[in-house]
Amino acid sequence: MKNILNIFMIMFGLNSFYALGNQGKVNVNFVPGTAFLAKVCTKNGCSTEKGVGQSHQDQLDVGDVVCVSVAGAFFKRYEYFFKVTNDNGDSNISFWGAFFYPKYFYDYQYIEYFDYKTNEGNFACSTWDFDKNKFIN
Amino acid sequence: MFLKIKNKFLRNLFYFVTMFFAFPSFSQDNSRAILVNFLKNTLFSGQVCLKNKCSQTLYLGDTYIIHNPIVDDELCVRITDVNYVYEYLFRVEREVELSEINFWGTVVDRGFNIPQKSIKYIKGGTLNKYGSNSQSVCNHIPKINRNDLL
Repeated sequence: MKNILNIFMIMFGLNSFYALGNQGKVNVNFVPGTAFLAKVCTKNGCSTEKGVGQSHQDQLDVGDVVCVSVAGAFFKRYEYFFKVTNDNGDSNISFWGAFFYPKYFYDYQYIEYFDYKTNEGNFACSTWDFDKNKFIN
Repeated sequence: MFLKIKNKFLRNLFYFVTMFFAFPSFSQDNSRAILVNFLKNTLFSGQVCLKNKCSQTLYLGDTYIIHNPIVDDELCVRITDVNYVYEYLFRVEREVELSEINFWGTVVDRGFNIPQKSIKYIKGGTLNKYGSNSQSVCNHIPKINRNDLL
């Protein structure tokens, strides 16, 4: 009896290691007050254009980059880059404002904002290399 | 108790043998695949290319199956417009049994995702069809035109 119990304890104990390996969810929310369309790109893909009241969810690891690409006038895009610094929980990035002056707020304990770039083309996040984690050219 | 094995040796043997079946183990069989899906709400057409082969032109609802991909295989999805080619470059990060790349949206608003996370999106870009000097993101993956085969 004791033997079998021990075996079960080891099995459930080992099982918990698998559960520890989960990634943190990152939500990008376009809260009420958003007057633009934007795409969210990560290493797991790009969303379609999101507007007010919509959100995008992704599972990311530490060091992964979230690119929020705001559609501007004359087929330009304004791109905001965030980095995941802690993936032990769910985190939020909130966007609002107009396309020429977007405002954002994010959870400081999980995410950091690190750069901004104007994309002259109309291809969301084509300025970023998700493999080398740096700007192209 | 449900395990009434009197013989000590047999009982220990039983424990020992059960040990091997406590966790599932998978043998490496040669049947991995990547599915490139153009979902039912995809309003554009495109082509998937690897280093040595390309798909036919894919439309909404089509799936292209890449058999037995290996790590560091790169694949390029080219979506065509009237005068632009939109290119997406992906790389295989892990060898898993089944992974997918889903595309959807319209030609001006394309969305895609990788649910299984064994493939990584590297970069994307636009290319002008008619003699622009813009840089292609998947130059190293050849484009096989169907007209060349005829």
